[in-house]
Amino acid sequence: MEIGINFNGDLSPRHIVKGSKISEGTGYDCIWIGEAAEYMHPFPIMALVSQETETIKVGTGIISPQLNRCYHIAKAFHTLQEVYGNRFVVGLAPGDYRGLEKTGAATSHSLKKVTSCVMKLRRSLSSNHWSSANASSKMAFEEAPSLEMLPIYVGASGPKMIETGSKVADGVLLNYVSPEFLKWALKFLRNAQCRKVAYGPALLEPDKKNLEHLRISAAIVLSGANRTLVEEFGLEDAASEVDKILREKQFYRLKEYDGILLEKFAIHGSLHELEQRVDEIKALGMHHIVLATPFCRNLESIEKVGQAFTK
Amino acid sequence: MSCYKSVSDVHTLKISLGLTTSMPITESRNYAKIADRIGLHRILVGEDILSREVFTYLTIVALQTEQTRLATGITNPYVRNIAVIASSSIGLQRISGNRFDLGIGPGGIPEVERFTGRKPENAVAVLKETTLLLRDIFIGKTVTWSGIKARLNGFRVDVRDATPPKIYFGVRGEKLLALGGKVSDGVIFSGPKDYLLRAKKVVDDSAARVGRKESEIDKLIWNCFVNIKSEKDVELAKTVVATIASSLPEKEVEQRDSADAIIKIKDDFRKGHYKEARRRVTDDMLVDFCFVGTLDQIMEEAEEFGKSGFDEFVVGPPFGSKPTETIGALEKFL
Repeated sequence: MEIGINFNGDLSPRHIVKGSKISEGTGYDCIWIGEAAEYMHPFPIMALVSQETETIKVGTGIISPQLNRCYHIAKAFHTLQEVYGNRFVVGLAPGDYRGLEKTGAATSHSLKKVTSCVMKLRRSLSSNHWSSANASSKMAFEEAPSLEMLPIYVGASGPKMIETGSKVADGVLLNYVSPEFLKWALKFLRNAQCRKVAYGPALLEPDKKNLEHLRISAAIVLSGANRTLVEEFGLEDAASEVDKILREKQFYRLKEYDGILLEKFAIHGSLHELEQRVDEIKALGMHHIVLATPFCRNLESIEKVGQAFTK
Repeated sequence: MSCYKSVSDVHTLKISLGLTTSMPITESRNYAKIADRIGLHRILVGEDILSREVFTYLTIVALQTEQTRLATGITNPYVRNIAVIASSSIGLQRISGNRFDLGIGPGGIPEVERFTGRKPENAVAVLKETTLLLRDIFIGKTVTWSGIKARLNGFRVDVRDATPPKIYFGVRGEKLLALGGKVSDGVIFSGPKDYLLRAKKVVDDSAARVGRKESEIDKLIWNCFVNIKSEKDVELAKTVVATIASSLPEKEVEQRDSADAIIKIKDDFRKGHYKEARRRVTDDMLVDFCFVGTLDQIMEEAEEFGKSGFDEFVVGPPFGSKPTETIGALEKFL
């Protein structure tokens, strides 16, 4: 099983560069750059990471077609590939609704939008031709290499997105790292060939400094979790309370939900405990696991886990 | 926002490099390295809407350079959510070590229309709204706003370590130029040479009406630039002149001897018939719209514009048949 790491634009460029170099040096397979509208946009960060590394794959994990025009996503990958070669991965998902609302981006029709973006990307990447309801244009950079082989993943947490994503994309980024949630999610896959990725907040402990970040990251996943999953596992009250805490920014109160947040929506613990969890996830047939923020905040952890997992 | 220029800056024409996203990025990286090495003031990257993504492109350029300033020249606020413009700008600013300024404008109207299916409307209001909101966002304010294009609800960007980028306008037309005088940090002018002086006056007059000094607004000229060495260079220049003519305001078109040709060029652009548009460009239009000649002749002409109050001269494509040589040769004018 491949190991990936997620960085977001909340960290300094210097930290991201250091972390990316350690990730490449210790054998991680992919760096996933996440999007949150209040932080640095993934495109400049992807250029930075690509420049500072040599062979490691770099992907968006995730970028939202609700906020970004799909055309710009295609163009950015064309631009990156032209310089840094065939080492990119597209991860698309609607994104965090609370964040989208702040930007004025539509939050409706997300399934349709993501699906449509996958289809458009496929066409444009193989032909350098862009067509949509509004425009049909030959992209003006035919000399750029074709991106036919660029893998496209859909970030998914609910049955419909998982089902559709598995049919239209090369893989699904399942926003879960708990084996029981992953088992539940895998039931909705409709394509056996689809690559399966577990993606969730992680922390190598002890790391007191980043424990609150872990709670917040896990809380964001829970508050945005698919309603079907929340009902299936009886998490309605917790999801509602956690959502309220996040809105009110009373993060200290998240500790009350450690049993759910840290155990169900995150991977954390000693190196041995992380290895155990990763083995459980691997046993489910997953192809890749992404250790998401706040794991990336601790450079020593990146190195230790990289050395242990990729040897 | 800096308000005053030092005395030593007066009439010192800065020389910058202009690139566009339709240029292969691998070539542009090399040009950028030369520009940085010889000490050009800035590298501007114009976004061709149908080509590469400008913030990605400019970051790649930034990573090849250490000193030279950077700017979009321009990107269009009609094709991106303002939050994306903001987070991309701040990303670029932090990664480049605070060398970035944001050039915006409603340019490339035929392309925007083809791309979005709608003609960009209310350009003055949209540009004003975009500028004022971005200015707040760039200093870390939380913004709630429901306007013509932007809808923000408690939106803010983490601007740690980022100097607020200046906001430049790449505009034509009196209303937009006047707005530039009122609210922008600088204006990128392009168009026929007699127009450049008139346009600058509109900006200066407008600035004065709101109590701003002329020197508060950076004035950049970015026209087609061709170091003529062969007939091939002339053909290159015609392509760019056709592009400039295609977005010339109606009022400016009417005033020109070449009005008929320009109207046809605009129509060609709407239909995507770029080759035909290029064929309509006459030699007179070339001289009128472009800086053409030997490097010495061009820089002498540019210096005259410097004396008229322009701050920065952008040497942009198509350069001529030997861009690397031409860009490197700018060193003697610095």
